[in-house]
Amino acid sequence: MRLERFEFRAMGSPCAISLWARSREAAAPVARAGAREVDRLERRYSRYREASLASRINASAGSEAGVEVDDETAGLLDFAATAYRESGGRFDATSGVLRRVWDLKSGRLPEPAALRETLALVGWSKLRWERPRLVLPLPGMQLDWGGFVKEYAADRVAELCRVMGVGSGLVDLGGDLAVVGPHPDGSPWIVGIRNPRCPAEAIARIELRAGGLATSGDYERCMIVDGVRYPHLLDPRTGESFRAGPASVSVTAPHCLVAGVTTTTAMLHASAEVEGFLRAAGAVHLVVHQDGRVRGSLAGSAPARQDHGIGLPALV
Amino acid sequence: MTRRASEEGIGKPEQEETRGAAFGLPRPGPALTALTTSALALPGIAGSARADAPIERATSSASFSYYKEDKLSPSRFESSVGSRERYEVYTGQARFDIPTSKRTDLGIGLLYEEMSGASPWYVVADTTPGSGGKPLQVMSGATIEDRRFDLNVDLDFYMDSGKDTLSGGVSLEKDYRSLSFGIGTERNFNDKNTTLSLSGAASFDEIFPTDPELSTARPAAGEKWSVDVFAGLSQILTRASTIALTVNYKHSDGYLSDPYKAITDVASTGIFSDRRPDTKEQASFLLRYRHHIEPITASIHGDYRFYVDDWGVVSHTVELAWYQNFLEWLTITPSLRWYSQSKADFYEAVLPAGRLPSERSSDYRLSPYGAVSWKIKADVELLDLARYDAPRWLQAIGISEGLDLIGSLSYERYLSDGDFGLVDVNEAEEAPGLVRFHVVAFTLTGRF
Repeated sequence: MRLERFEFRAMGSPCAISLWARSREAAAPVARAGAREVDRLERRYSRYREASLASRINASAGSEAGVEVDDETAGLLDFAATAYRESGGRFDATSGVLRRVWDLKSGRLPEPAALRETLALVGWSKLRWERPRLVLPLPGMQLDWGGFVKEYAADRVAELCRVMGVGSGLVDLGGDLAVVGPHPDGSPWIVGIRNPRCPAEAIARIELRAGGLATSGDYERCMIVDGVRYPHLLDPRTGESFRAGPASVSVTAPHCLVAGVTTTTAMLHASAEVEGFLRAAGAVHLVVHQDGRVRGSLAGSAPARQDHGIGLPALV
Repeated sequence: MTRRASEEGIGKPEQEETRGAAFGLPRPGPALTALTTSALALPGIAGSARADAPIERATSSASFSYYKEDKLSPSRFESSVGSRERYEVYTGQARFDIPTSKRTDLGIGLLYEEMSGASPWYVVADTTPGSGGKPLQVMSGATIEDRRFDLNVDLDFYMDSGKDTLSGGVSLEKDYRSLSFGIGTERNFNDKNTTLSLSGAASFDEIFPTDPELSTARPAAGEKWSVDVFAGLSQILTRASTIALTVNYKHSDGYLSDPYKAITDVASTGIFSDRRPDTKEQASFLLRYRHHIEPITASIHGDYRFYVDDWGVVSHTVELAWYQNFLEWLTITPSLRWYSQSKADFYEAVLPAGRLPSERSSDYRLSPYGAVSWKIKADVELLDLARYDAPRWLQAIGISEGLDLIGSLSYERYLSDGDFGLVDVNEAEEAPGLVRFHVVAFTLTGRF
């Protein structure tokens, strides 16, 4: 048995599928099926693709008729509704529209009036979701799948690999991880978590035998205005860049999708509260604070070996 | 890419709280429980049952095949009339599978076929001194030329636990017309590990033999109808193996004889029409086993079929196929098939002198025989746009969601002989017309 790694780019990120198989030829069709599945989801849910379902949904904003969606999309919408409710509004799939006013390249903070206007379009509670019909009542409202489709894709690909007969492997979609199964000897995958302030170095190593691992960090994108760092971490409740949170949060859960929503939600908690939130949620977690302290149920475990370093999400 | 290099130093984490996912999760709070429950409802996520779904991409395929029967062996041919050249068939086929809604898909199949050649007519005993009266095949004098056109349509309706299917078809030839209609249902149980299917089909066929004046034995027209029922059970045994049993029963009523076949007696006192019973009851049991051998990306398929009818024919079929995938884009499938049947009660190559039973046939397909065939098939992925944006000219005709193109080429050789079966066949009984043929087929399949 050999560990074969297949790399590709999808969803704007470097991706890798690592599979144990007798040969590269044996693993390749499985890896390729996985890459295709990611591609399929990207085609459906990317807001950058004009023909995508996501673009069609956004184009329907303001129409009372809305759109009727398929079962998969309905499942994702149900999930987004649960995530909105359970996160106290911190996870909000309608918040993507805020990017319009938070233009990182401009190096300028949004005009307060423009921000207010845009914030009026944000809020899961403003849309009407009655399976199978989704209505975005306000013209200009947008649904952004980017916050959870990559995680969902990782879970799907891991399951697809299992269905195709591969029992040992790891799926990494731009840092969102789903385990196909542990190494053939039953030992867990050892995943390095990058130091948010020094991405070349692993700040902790996490053992992962099953389920998923997601990481959110404020290092992905930010802008500095008048010496103040504004991470591209927008709070759907206020429309503002959230600056009081930790530097990064990693969570393991039975599904990457659940881990992803949990990290996103945790990042919108103040540093002093984030560990309390994660403990109350019962999430297996690792928090890296702004001052470099590493805390959480996954902290301190640093096996010397490392199977897999998480790729940093691409800078767009 | 092995992890050997960094394997040293594996140690248990030292503190209690460093235990991560590997050692058991803390009890999730209500938020995580709600999220996990919601995640589990999504399709294709571990632990969730998958609903059957219509196909997501339209698929169409076109295929062309050439079928050629070997020339009849001179030692089995009555050379005074007819031709040793046997059938040759060119077939073109197209199939379209189109997703029509969230719950339905539509399949349309078209077939056009041109056949020509001579066919076995009746059998005489060799009168050459010293030949022992061995049977010789008399072939039809005129070369038969015919065309066939088939249309089949099926509609699938999907639900969470299975699907229902409605189908209909029509088949037209110069001298033949057939209409058929079918309904079927499929249900999944036991976490989709068990599938039960039931279906029924009815068909009505009419035959208008050409040149009825050529033979008093040839009727001007005949019709038959038949009803077919199937029950199938398939069970996933392990992640790599599946077993399925299908039981089929068919009842046919009407004109079941072959107007283009005849029979004579050893003294050649006359050429008599092929005459078979007006009803036929057929039953078959098919057992299929599929095993996937993951480490070498191969699958083995083994099938056994037992067939019995009330005309006296009992047959066994064993088929083995090996699907071997190479690289990412090539699958080679060699397969081997063996068949054996006993004769129909009323089959005689040549009738004994002075006897004309009311039911009689010299058709080699009702004779005792066995057959072996082998086939090799290569499937090649020619084009894979699923992962790339389609070129502009494809987008211009509405194809933007990627396109797969698969080419498949196969060759089959089939040999039948009295000696290949389980039953001992004496020389007087062996049909001289037993067929041997080659088939070459090419298929192009596109998924949009």
